[in-house]
Amino acid sequence: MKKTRGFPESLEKELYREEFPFGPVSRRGFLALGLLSLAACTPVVRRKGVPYVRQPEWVVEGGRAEFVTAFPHAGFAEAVRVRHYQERPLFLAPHEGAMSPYPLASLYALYDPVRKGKAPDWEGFFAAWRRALGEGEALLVLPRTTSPRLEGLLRRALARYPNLRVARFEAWSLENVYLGAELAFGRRAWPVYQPERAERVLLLDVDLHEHPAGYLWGGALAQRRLPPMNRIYAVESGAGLLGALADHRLALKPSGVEAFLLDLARALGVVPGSPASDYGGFLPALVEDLRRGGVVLPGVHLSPGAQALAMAVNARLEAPVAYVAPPEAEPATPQAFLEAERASRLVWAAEGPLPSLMGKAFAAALSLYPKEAPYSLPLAHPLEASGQHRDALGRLWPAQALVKPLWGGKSLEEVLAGLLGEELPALSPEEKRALAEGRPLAEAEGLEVALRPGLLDRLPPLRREAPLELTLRPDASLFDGRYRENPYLQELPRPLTRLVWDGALLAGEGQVEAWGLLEGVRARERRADPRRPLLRVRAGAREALLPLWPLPLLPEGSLVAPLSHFFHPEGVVFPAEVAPTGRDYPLVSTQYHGYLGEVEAVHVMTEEEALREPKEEKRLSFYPPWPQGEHAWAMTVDLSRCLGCGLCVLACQVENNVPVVGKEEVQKGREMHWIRLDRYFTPEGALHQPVMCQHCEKAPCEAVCPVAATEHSDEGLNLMVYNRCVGTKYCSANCPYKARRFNFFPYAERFIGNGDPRKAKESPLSLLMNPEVTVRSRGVMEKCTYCVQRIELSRAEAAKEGRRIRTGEVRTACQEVCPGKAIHFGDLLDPEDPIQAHRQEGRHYVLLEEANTWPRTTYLAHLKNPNPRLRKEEAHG
Amino acid sequence: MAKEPHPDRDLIQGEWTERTLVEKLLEPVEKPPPRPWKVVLAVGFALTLAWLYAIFVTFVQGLGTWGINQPVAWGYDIVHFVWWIGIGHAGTLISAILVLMRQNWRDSLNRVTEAMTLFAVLCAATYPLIHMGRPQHFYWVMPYPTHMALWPQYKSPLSWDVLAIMTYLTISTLFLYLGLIPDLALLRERSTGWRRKLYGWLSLGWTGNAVHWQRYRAVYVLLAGLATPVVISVHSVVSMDFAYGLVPGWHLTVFPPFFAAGAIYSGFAMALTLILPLRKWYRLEGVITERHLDWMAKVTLASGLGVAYIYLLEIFIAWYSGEPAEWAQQLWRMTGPYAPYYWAMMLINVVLLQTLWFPRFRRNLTWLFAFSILANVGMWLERFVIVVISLSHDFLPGNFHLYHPTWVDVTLFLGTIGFFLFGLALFIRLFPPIAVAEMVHLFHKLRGH
Repeated sequence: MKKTRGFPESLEKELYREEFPFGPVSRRGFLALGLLSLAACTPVVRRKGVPYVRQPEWVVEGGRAEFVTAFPHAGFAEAVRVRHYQERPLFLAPHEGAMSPYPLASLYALYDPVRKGKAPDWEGFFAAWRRALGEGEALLVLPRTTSPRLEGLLRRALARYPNLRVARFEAWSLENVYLGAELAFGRRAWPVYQPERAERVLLLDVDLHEHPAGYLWGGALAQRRLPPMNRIYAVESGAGLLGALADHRLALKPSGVEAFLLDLARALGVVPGSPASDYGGFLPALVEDLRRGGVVLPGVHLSPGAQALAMAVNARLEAPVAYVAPPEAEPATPQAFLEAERASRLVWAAEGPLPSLMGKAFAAALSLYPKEAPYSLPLAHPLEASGQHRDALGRLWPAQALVKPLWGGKSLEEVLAGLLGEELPALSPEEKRALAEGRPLAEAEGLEVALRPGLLDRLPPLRREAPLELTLRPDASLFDGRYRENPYLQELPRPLTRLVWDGALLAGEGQVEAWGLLEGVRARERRADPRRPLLRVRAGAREALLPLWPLPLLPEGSLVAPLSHFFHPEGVVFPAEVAPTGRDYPLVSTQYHGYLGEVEAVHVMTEEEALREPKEEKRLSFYPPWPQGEHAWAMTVDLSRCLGCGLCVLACQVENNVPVVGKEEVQKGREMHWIRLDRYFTPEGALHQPVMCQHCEKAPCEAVCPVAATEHSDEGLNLMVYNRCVGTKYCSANCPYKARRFNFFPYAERFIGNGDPRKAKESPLSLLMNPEVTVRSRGVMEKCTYCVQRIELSRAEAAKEGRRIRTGEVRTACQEVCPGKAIHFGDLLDPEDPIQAHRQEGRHYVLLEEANTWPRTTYLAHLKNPNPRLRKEEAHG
Repeated sequence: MAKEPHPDRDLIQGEWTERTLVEKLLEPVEKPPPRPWKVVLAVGFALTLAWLYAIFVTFVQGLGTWGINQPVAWGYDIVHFVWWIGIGHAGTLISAILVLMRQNWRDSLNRVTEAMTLFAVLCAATYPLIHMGRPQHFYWVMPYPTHMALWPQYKSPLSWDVLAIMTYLTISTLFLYLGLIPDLALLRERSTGWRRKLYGWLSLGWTGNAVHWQRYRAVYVLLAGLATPVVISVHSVVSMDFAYGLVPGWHLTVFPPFFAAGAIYSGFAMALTLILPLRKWYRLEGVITERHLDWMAKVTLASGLGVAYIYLLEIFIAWYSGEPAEWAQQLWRMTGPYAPYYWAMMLINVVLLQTLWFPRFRRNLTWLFAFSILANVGMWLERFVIVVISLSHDFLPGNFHLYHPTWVDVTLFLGTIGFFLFGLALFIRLFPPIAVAEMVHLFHKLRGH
C-alpha cells in the first residue's frame, strides 16, 4: 500500500490537515468561523436535579409499583389497581371485573393545575364552623357515603355539637330502590344482581353509568354474548349502551316502561289481572322466555312502585338476585338541595350543583374544585386520602392514600375529624392486609327477605302518562356534573350521540319531526354545520335551555336531558314542556354519519352463523414478506362483547399521553383519540366498533411516507418514528381506516399547560404524562402503537429473567380496562395464545379486507340471539 | 427566382421594418409602463404581502390554522399545488415540443409562457413546503448523504414529486434564461446605468457572432429535447400521489394521462388569460395575431376533451368496478354536499368547452378570455373534487368529515396569485415579454430573406 502513488501526500493531508474547505484561513478568519459555529450550537440546558443521599425505602429510580385501592365514584367503591411510576399514580385498571371510566379519568383531577391555590386555612375554617355551631343550627350536606368509619365520626360530631344537622345530597338518588324494597319486603334493602347467571335478561330503562353496578353488569352480560348466549331484552325510555346490546328492544315513554312492567307482572301472575296490551307479541314472547331463567334489571329512577314490582317479578322468576343492607346509612336525595338553600348556616360538601350561598350567616363549600364561597376549601382527591367505601355489591373496601395531598386537601373523614379536633387513625392492620391481598375488608351483609303478599293494594301509583315526558339522566361522562372540570371526560364522546363537551336534549327523530325541526337539523348535519336549535325545556317549576339532538332510538314523547346540565331538586322524571327560543347552539359530535349503507364494517351474525368455518383471508402482494422476529403481535376485537362505553379510548389516552384538544378542534375533526369508537345505527340496533391502527402487514401508510418515518418492525408493529416525521400527512390520507392523528397545533403542550403551551413546563399536569411514552410535538403524526412501551417493558423483564415473554403477559391499556373483555392482544407465534382460537372462529373477519392491507388487528362479528317467536320488524319497534 | 410567399406570412401582421419591430417589442421594457401594469403590480404586491403574512401565521401557530382535519389531511394546499403545477405546463409545451415541431407560431408566445411557467412552478413549490407539519426539516425529503445513512423512502410518490418538480424548475429556468441571452445582449447595448450592468452580467458576453448563434441553437434544441418528457412526466408523477393511494376517487390507473391533459388544458387557459390583456395593453396585435389565439384555443380544446373524456370514464369505472366505496364516492360527488363543485366542474370542462369547436367562439376574444378564466376555475374545481371530496368520504362512514377552509387557506391561494402577477409584472418590465431575437429571425424568415 505504501507504494501507491501519492500515498505520502495523502497521508500528510490526512494526518496534518491544514486545508479548510474554503481555502487557507487566517487566524482572524478562524476565530470568526469558530465564533460563528458556536452561535449555531444549541445551548446546554442544565436541569436541576440532586441525587438522593439516602435512598428512601421503596423508591426506585424509574421503578414502577402497583397498589390496590378502592376508588369511590358517587359513594360506591370501585376496586382498582393503581400503577405508580416514581411516586406518581399514572394508570388505573379494574382490580376485578369492570370499572367505570371515572376513576381513570380522575387522574387528571389529581394533577389538575386549577386545583392549585393558596394553602387552605383549615384551622381557621374549623374554628369558624365551631363558632357557627355555637350560634345556631348549622347544616352539613354530605354526598352519598358508604363509609362506616365516616358514619362513626359523624355520630360523635352530632353528639358533640347538638346544633349540627346533616343532610345527604345526590342528584341521582337510589332512594326509590330502598322504598321499593320496603314495599315488596317490608324493609329497606339493596338488590345485588348476578346477571351472568341469567339465561334471559330484561333491562328496564337502565344503562351502564346509571346504576352503581352498571359496568359490572355490562361486563357480566358481555361475557354471555358468546355461544351459548344469553338473550337480552330492553324496554327503554332512553337510549343506552346496555339497551344497544339487546336482542330485542322496545322503546316506550317513562310512564310506558312502568306500565309495561305492571303488564309483565300481571302476565307472570305476580299481581292479579291481565295485561292491557301484548305489545305486538313482545310481551308473551318475553314472558315465555323469562321463565327459562330470567332476571329483570330495573333502573334506579323507576318509581318505588315499579321497583317493588320488579323485585316481585324477580322473586317469581327465582332470578339470581340477593338483597343486602342499603350501603348508605341515610339515603342521599336531590331534595337535600332545597334544605341547603333554606339553611342559614351551611357547609356544602356534596358534588354536583352548588346551592345559592347568598345571605347565609355562615357558608362554606368543600369540593375537589372549591367554588365561590366565604369558606371554599379543597377536598382531597380520592387517591390522596384513605378511607372506606362499599361497592355496588355491598362489600366494604379500604382505600389507601397513594400520594400526599398535593394542594392541602382533606377527605370528608378528615374534615369531620378536624371538626372534632381529632387525629384520624392510620390504616388498620386488617385494612392493610386486605389491600395487600387485594380483597374487600368485609363481605356484604346479606338480608333474608320475603315477598309480602298483597303488593297490588300497597302499590303507590306508577308514573302517569304525559304528552312529553322528560328524564334527567346522568351524563355518561360528566355524571351529575361532578366531572365537569375533567377534560378527559368532557372530550370522551358520549355513547350513541358521540357528542363532546356539551349536554343536549335528546329526542326521538319522530318527536323532532313532529316539532318540525328535523329537516333543518338534517340539512345542517349534511353541511357539517354544528348549530342546533336551542330549546327551553320546562319541568315543574324549573327550566333549562338545552340544544336539541335527535337520536333515532328514542320513542316519541320521551325526552332525555343530562343531569349535568339540568338539575331538578324534586326528582328526575317529569312531564315536560318544550318551547323554541329561536336561537342556536353549536353541538359537536365526533361522528355525523351514523349509517353504514353498503359498507360492511360491522358484521352481525346469529349464533348458528358464527359456528361456520372461517372465511380464508385473501392475500396478494408484490412485496416480499417482512423478516419475522421472535413474536408476531396481533389483536382481536370481539364486537359481540363490545359495549361501546369508550373506556378503551380513555385508557389509551391516559396511557399514551394523548392530549385533549377542545371543542373547536373536535368540531374541525381533529380529535386525537387513538381509538375511534364508530357507532352505526342499523336494523339490528346501534352497533359499536373501536377502530385504531390496524398494524397492517402491507401498510398503505408505510409505502407513502417520503422520509421513512413510519416503519415496520419484525414483530409486525407498524412503528411511528416521531423524530423523523416531517408531517406531510400522506400516511393519514392513505390510511383506509383513518387511524392516524396529526398534531395540527402543539396539542400536548397546550393540554399540559392547561390551554397555554408556554406554561407546559411548570404545569403539574406534566406529572400526568407517562414517562415511557414520548409527548409528541406539533406537526408530527401519531397513532396506536399497540402500547409498544408495555411490550418493551415485558421484554426487558423477560430478558432479566432469561425467558420468553409469557402468554398474555403484555396487556395493552385498552385491553386492561375493557369491561366486556372484548379486546385481546397476543402473539401469533405463541401456540398457547387464545388469539389463535379467535382467528379460527367463524365470526373472525378483517376490516376492509378488499383494501388488501393484511391487518394484525382483526374483528369478531357482533352476535345477536333473537327470539324465534319475535319477527324481526317487531323486535325493533 | 421569385419565392413563394411564406405560408405563415400572416403571423406578423402590419408594416414593419426590423428596426420598428424591435422598437415595438422592447416597448414594455423601455417605455414607461401603461396604467394597467401599475395596477397589476400594486395588486400583486399587496397580495404577496398578505401571502407572506399567511405563511408567517402558519409557521408560528401551526397547520391547525388551516382547514385540514383528520380524514381530509390534504386540502387547499394540495389543490393549489396541483393547480399551479398544471398551469406551468403550457410554457414547457410551447418552448419544448413546438420547437421540435418547428411551429412558427410559438415564437411570439414562448417568452411570456416560459416566464409564466417559472412563476407557476415557484408558486406550486411553496405548497409542499409549507404544508409540512415540521417545515424546518423539509430537506429530509431530498436525497443527501447523512451520517445515519438515511435516504428518502423511494417507494413514496412524494419523493418522486420532489425529483420531478426540481427537474421541472431547473429545466424551465434554464430554458427561459437561455432564450433570454440574445435579448439581454440587445438590451445591454441599448441601456445605460444599472440596467446596462445587470444586462451585461446576465448576457454572459453574448456578441451575436456566428459561433455564438451556432452553439445557442444546438443547446436550445438539446434542451428542448430534454424538456419534452418533462411536459408529460411532471404531472404524471404528481398524479401518482393520488393514483398510488387507496382512497376511492384516487385509485385509478388512468390518472397520469388525465393529469397531463389537464395540465396542458389549464396551462393554455392561463396563457390565454395572460396574453389577451398583454396584447391589448401593449398593442401587440401585430405579433400576437388572431391566428395565434386560434391555435391556442385549439390546443385548449384538444387537451380539454381529453380531460372531459376521463370525467365520463371515471363515472363508468366507479360503476363497472362494482366496488361499493368507489361508487359511493361517485354518488357523493354527484349528490353530496359538495355536488355544486362537481357539477360546476362538469359544466365548464365538459359543456362549455365544446364552444371552442366553433371558430365563431374561438375568434370572439371576449368569450375566449372569459373561457380561459372559467377553464382555470374548472381545473381548480377538478383538483378540489379529487383531493378534498375524495378524502371526505372514503371507506368507513364513521370517519367521514367535511372540510372547511379558513382565511389562511384562502389568503395563501390569493397570495400565490398575487406573487404570480407581481413576478410576471416585474419580469416584463425587466425582460421583453416577446422573444425579440426569435421574432426578428421569424420576420426575416417570413419575408424570405
